[in-house]
Amino acid sequence: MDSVDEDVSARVLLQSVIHTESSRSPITRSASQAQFQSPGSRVRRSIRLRKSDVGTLTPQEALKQSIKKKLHESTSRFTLPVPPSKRRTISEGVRKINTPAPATASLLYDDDITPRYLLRGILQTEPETSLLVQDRPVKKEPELPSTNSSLHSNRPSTGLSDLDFPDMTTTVNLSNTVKGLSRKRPRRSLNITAFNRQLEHEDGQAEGGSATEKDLSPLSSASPNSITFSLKTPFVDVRTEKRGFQRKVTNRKKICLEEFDEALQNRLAAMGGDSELSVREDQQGLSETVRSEGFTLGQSDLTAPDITHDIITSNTALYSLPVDTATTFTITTQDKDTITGTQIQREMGGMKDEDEKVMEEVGEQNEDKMELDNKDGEDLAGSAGQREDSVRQKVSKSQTVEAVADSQTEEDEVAESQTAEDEVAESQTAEDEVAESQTAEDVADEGGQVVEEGQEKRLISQSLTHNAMHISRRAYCSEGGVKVAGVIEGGRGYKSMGAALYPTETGWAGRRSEGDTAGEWHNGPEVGASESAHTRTVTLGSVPPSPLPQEDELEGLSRTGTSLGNEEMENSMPPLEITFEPENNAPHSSNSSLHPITAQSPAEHEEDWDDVEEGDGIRSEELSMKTPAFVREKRNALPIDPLATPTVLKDLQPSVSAGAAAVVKPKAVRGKRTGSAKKDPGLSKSYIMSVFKHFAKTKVSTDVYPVLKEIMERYFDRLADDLETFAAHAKRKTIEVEDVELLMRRQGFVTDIMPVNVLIEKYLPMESRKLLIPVATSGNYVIPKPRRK
Amino acid sequence: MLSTTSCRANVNFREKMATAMDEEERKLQRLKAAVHYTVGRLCQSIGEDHQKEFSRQVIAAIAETTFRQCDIFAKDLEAFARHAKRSTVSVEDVKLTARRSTALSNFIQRKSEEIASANQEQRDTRKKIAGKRKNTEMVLP
Repeated sequence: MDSVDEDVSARVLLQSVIHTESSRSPITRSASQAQFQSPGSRVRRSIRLRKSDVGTLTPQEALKQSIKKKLHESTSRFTLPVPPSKRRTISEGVRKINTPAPATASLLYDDDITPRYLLRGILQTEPETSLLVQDRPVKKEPELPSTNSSLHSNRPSTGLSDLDFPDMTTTVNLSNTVKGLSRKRPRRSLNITAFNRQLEHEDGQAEGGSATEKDLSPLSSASPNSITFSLKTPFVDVRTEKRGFQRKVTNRKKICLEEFDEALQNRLAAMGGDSELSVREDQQGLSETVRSEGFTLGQSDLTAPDITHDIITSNTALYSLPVDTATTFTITTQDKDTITGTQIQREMGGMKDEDEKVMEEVGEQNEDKMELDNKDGEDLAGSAGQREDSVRQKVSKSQTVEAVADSQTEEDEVAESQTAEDEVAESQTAEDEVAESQTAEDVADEGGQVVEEGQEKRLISQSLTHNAMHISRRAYCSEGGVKVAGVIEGGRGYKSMGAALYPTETGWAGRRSEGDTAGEWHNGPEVGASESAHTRTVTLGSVPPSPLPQEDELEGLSRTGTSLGNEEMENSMPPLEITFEPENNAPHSSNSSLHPITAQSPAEHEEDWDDVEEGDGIRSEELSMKTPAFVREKRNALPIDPLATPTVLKDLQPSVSAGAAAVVKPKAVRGKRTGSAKKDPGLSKSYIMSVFKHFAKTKVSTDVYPVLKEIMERYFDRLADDLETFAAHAKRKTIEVEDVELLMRRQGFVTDIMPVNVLIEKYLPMESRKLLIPVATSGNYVIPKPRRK
Repeated sequence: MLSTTSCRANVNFREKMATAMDEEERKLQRLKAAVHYTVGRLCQSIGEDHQKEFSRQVIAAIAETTFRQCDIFAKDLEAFARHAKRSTVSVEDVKLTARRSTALSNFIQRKSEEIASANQEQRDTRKKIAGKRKNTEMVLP
C-alpha cells in the first residue's frame, strides 16, 4: 500500500505524509528517508519508536531518539525518496518521535530544491500551524497517542523550522521533544524565530508562525534564550511584576515621598562631609584651599561607602523616621571602618562613645568643612561633620574645662540660652544652631583667644549650621557629635564673639541631651538646617531665642572652633570622650548637666585653640581616637542588639519568624541598654533576609535589613516577655511548650483546626519535627506514658 | 419508607439545629444590641463632657469592635485559665489579658486591689459578726 502510494502525485504524497502519524515532520523525503533508511534501522527504529510509543517516552528519550535519527538521516541522506507512507509503517507506533524533527532538518538539506517538496512542506506546515492551538493541550501529554496530534505538534516546530533556518530546526526539534514535560522551552526558541519570521513575512506562513508564537508564548516562560514576543507573556509578567512592586511601593511610598529629597541631600552632604573628614585626616592640610580640594575629592570618593553605611545603619530612614534613635538603628554595623563607624556612631542615638568619636571626627570634618562651606556654601554635611568633630573636641575639652571658672558664666548663659532654646526646642534645627552657637560661645569665652572670629565665625557659623544640620540629619544619634561641634564652635565664637555666644552654647548643651534622646534631632536639624542655612546673619552679641542668629554664631564659632579645635582636639579628645560618655549615657539628663560639660569643653577647646592648626590637631585627635572610638562603637552597639532568641524558641523560629514577617506588631521602644562588652548582633543578616524573602514571595531589597532587624529584635523581646509571663502565670519557672502553644494561639497560628503539630510539620525541618513530635519517630508504635501525679 | 423517615428525621434534626442556631443568633443579636446601646450612652456622656458629638457610624463601629474584642477576651481568658490548669477564670487571667496596655493594666490592678480589700473587709465583718454571734450564743446559754 505504501509503495503504491508512493508513485502517485505529489498531492497523494502529501496526504500520505500528512496522515502518517509518526513523524512529526510531515515532511518530506528526508524525513521519510531517515525513517526508512534501512529495514534494520527501521525495525530498530520501529522498536525503539514503539517503545517510545508505548507512552513512556520521556523528553530526554525523545531527544536521544531524535538525535540518533538525525545522525542516521544524515548518514543515509538521499537514500530514497521513500514515500512517507513507508515511514508510516515504521513510525506508526511513534508518537512523539523526534525523528520528524531530525527528519525535517535533513529534509531541509535534502528537499529544499524540488518545488514539489517545498509545496509539500508548505502544505504540511500550514495545517500544522493552524492546528497549533489544538496541539497545545495535546502536546501536554507526551504520550499522546494520536498521530495527528503528534504530527500537529511536531509540525509547527518542523514547519517553522523548515521555513526558518535550518539551524534552528535542531534546536527546535529537540526542544519539541523535550516539550513533553516542559513545553515552554522549545516554544521559546520558536517564538523568536517565529516572531522574526512573522516580522519578515506577513503571509500565511507568518501567520502560522505567529499563531505558533502566540500559542507558544503562553506556555513558554522559562526558556532563557528566547524572548517571548507574544502579547501574553509580557503582560503577565508586568502584572506579576506590578504586584510585587506594588507591595513594595505601598510600603515605600510613605517614606520616599515625604522627605526623600531632603534626606538625600542630607545624606550626600553628610557623606561628603564624612568623606572629607576621612580624607582630610590623612592629609593634614589645614589650609582652606586644601580642604576645599579635599572636599571635592572626598565627596566623590567616599560618598558610596557613606551611603551604604547609612543604609546599613538605617540612616536611610532618617528623614522619614522621627522616631527614637534608640530603637532604630541601634543596630549598627560593626564591620565598618572607623570612618563609617563614626558615622554609625553618629547615627546611633545615645551612643555616647560613638558620639564622642563621631563628634571628634565630625568636628574635624566640620572644621574642614566649615571653610569649605564658606566657600561652597553647600557642603552642609561637611560642616556638620566638622562641627561634630569640633563639638567633640569641645566636649572632651569641656571635661577638663569643667573646672574652669569661666564656665560659670557660660553656664549661666547656657542656661539662659537653653531656656530660650527650650522655647524654641520645637525646631530642632534651631537647637543645632543654638548648640553650635553656644558651644562656639563657650569656646570663645573660655579661650579668650580669638582667632578669626567675626569673619570666620560667620563663615563657620554658616557652615556649622549647615554641618550641624547635616550632622543631625545624618545621624540621629550624632547629637553628641553635633553638640560637640557646637561646643567647639561656640568656644571659638566666644573668643571672638563674647558673651553673646553663651546662650547658644547652652542651647547646644540642651541640644545634646535632646539629641541623644530622640530622632527629633535628625528631623529638626534637617528642617532647621535648611532654614538656618538660609537665614544666616551672625549676631554675635545677641542671645536671641531664635535659633537662626544662634546658628550663625555657632557657625562662625564652629569654624573658628574647628580651626582651633584641631589642636585642641588633640588634647581634648580623650577628655572629650569621657565627657561624651556621661552625656550620652544620660540622654535625658537635664540640660544643666550638659551645660557644665559644654561649658567646660569650650573652655578646653579654647585653650587648645590658641595654637590652632585646624587640620593637625583634629586629625591627630581623630586618629588617636579612632580606634578606641570604633571599638567603643562596637561595644556600644552590642548591648543594644537584642540577645539571641531563647533556645526554647529556636525550634519554632521559622514559624515565629514567619509570624514576624507576616505579623509585625508595633512594639514598645526598647530602652537603650548600657553596654555589655559582648557582641551580640542577633540573627545573621543572611538568615533574616533569606527567611523574609521566602515568605515575601517577591523581590526584597537589602535596604530593608536594618529595619527588619530592628523589628525582629522587638518581636523577639516581646515574645520572650510573653512567654515568661505565661510561665509565671502557670506558676512555673521554666518556659514550656504549652506556653509557646498558648502564644501561638493568641497569635492566630494555632486554632482549633490547626494544631501545633501540623504547624511544626509544615514549617520545620525533619530533625526538629522528630524532636518536637515524638509520634513522628515512633513508627506507629506508641505507648502512652504512665502518668504520675 | 425507611428512607423517608430517615429523611424526615434528618430534616427534623436539621431544623432543630437551625432553630438552635437561630436562637444562638438571636441571642447574639440581642447582646449586640445591648452593647450598642451601652456604647451609645457612654459616648453621649463623654460627648457632653467635651461638647462633642458622636456620629452613628462611630458608635456602631465602636460597638462592633467592642463586641468582637469581648469575644477575643473570652477566648483568651479561657485559654489562660486552662493554661494555669484551672477551670475557673480568675483575676490573674484578667490581668494577664490586659498587660499589653499599661493604662488598662494599671486600672485593673487598682480595681483588683480595691476589690480584694473590699472582700477582705467583708470577710472581716462577717467574721466579726459570726464571732459576736457565737459569743452571744455562748453567753446567752
